Amino acid sequence: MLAVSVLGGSALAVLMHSPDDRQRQESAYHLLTRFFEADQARRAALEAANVAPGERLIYTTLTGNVEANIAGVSLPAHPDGGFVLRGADRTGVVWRSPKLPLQPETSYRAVFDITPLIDVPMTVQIVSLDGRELASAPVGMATRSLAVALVGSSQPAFATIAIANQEGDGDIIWIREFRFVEVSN
Amino acid sequence: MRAISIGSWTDQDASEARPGAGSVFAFLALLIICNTFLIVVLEDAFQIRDHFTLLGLPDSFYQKPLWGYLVPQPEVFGTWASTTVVAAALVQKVIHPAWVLLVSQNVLVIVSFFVGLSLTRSFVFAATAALLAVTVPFNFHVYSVHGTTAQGLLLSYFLLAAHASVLAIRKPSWGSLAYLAIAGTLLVLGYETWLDVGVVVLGLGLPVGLLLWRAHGREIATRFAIYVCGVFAIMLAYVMIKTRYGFGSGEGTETDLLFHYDNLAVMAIDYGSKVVTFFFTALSLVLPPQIAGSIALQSQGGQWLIDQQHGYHLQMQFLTYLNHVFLWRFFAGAYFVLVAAVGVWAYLRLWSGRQDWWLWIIVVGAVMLLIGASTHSVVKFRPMHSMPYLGYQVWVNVLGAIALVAVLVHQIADRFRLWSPTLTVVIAWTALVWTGFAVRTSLGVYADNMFMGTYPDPAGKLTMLLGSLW
Repeated sequence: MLAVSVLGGSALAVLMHSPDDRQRQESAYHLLTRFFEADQARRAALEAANVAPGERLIYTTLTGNVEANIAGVSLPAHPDGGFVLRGADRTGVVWRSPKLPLQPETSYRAVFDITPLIDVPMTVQIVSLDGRELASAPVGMATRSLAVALVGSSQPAFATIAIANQEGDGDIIWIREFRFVEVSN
Repeated sequence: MRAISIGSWTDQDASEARPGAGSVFAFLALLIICNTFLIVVLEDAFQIRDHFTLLGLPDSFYQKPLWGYLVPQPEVFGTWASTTVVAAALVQKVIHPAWVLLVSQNVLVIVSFFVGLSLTRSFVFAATAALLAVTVPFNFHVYSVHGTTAQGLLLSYFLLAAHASVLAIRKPSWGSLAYLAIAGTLLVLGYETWLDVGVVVLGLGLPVGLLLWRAHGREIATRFAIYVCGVFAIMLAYVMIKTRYGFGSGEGTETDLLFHYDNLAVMAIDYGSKVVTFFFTALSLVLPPQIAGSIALQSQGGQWLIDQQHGYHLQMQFLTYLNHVFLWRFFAGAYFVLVAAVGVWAYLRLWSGRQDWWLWIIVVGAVMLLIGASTHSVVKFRPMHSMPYLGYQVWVNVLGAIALVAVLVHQIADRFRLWSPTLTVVIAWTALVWTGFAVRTSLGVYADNMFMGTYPDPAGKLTMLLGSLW
């Protein structure tokens, strides 16, 4: 009885054992330390963005309030700050910001630090609620930062990132920061 | 050779269910071989080092007269563990600590079997208890902090003292009283937490005393009352000596007492949470990890769980990881109520006139499991208690859990047989063996997350060994 039980129980243990379980673990201390160090760096960047001369911050991903506004897309944190945009078999808009309030006769600028992770054409767009493109800029493999200037209307808008085509599953783009600011004339 | 009764299912299956002495010897021999393989090969026990050497105790510590080791040791924070930790340190000057671990764990296997058999006359109960002495990793922290190599002896002392207590109360004789005195002395000098046993005895005093009076009359109830008073007197004397000569519980120490809070509400909350925590620390050692906590934390890791927030409320995402760290508390609360209810049910059955041995085991085992860590419960909550893995602190609760599981297996074999009781027991034991491996892997995960050293992973080692064969 004992021999059969030991053999059976051991066989079950081997069959159900996952070597990855232990490899995925780290101490709460290290995990939280890394988490809060990243958070402090983000807050410092946010503070710097808030005091940039001649600008008024409307929206930035540095606030930490980043949601996956497009179904089928996920936004896991990137170890070096910001987040990764991940999805499968996508074409068109893959990320959308919250609504950006625009005022008439006011100038705005989108500043972003984005690294494409796949080699397909990508575009940052500012789009009105009714779908009109107000401004756009291409994001190339070498592009890390671009400015998009526009003059607002009374209608809110979204910032979006669109891609030509992506086949398969995986990381699409690393968004270290996307910032939308009002520019003083 | 007289056959050994196998419990109440012997009535119908006597031919196949009465192992003789040869079978018992083979059973224990195989169990000890398995335990030795587990400890030496799969857990790599020879990695551990002598705890007192690591603490840097001077050579003068080892040159005391023998009686000098029977009192609190000022060099080691006033510890009073003469027959376990201190004895092990002395022996480990000569032999490797792994040998002490191996011997003490195997002594527990043998003592569990024979005490269980003597008290219940059930082979299934005794054999299951002995098997659980192997599979339950109550002493796994020895691989991180190497001071409890002789923990198995402590549990053995308790079992012997409990056995002697039953014999002495049932039918006192010079022999049973001498047995009780020797086992009791070994236990009291084994570890300060023997006081947990005293609290359990005090907790059982009134309800069990009334039950004995009702079922067996005044004489045995009086003997039990004298026994309880004797335990209480020894506890008082022990605490007075300990606090006078070996008190190491100042503020900021590991054993900082919750009385230092100077706030009744905090004391009550801390104490209550510790009682449930320690209850579950023991119970989770016999439960499959899938029903004892967050298996998602184990299979995916903390960072993955945080990543799944996908940017939402970034500043506070760490709480989602902590949700999984503390998830076991839901299970703990539910099981606490369940075990308490089963204990009350068994007591009421006894009160109604039933005299089954397994009902007595349930009552005593439930109380041990529920309130068996009284001394550690009056120490402040520490970060290490955020996950249930320090089994050595709750050894009384662990023995309660083992007793309840052994009763459960006996009852399953007795009442819910499938094709045969033998097959039923094999299925139950197979589950216990698998649970033993799975719990060890989970304890390693808990220790990793709590930054409390590294535990071995016997299932991983076995997988690797088998892989190397092909």
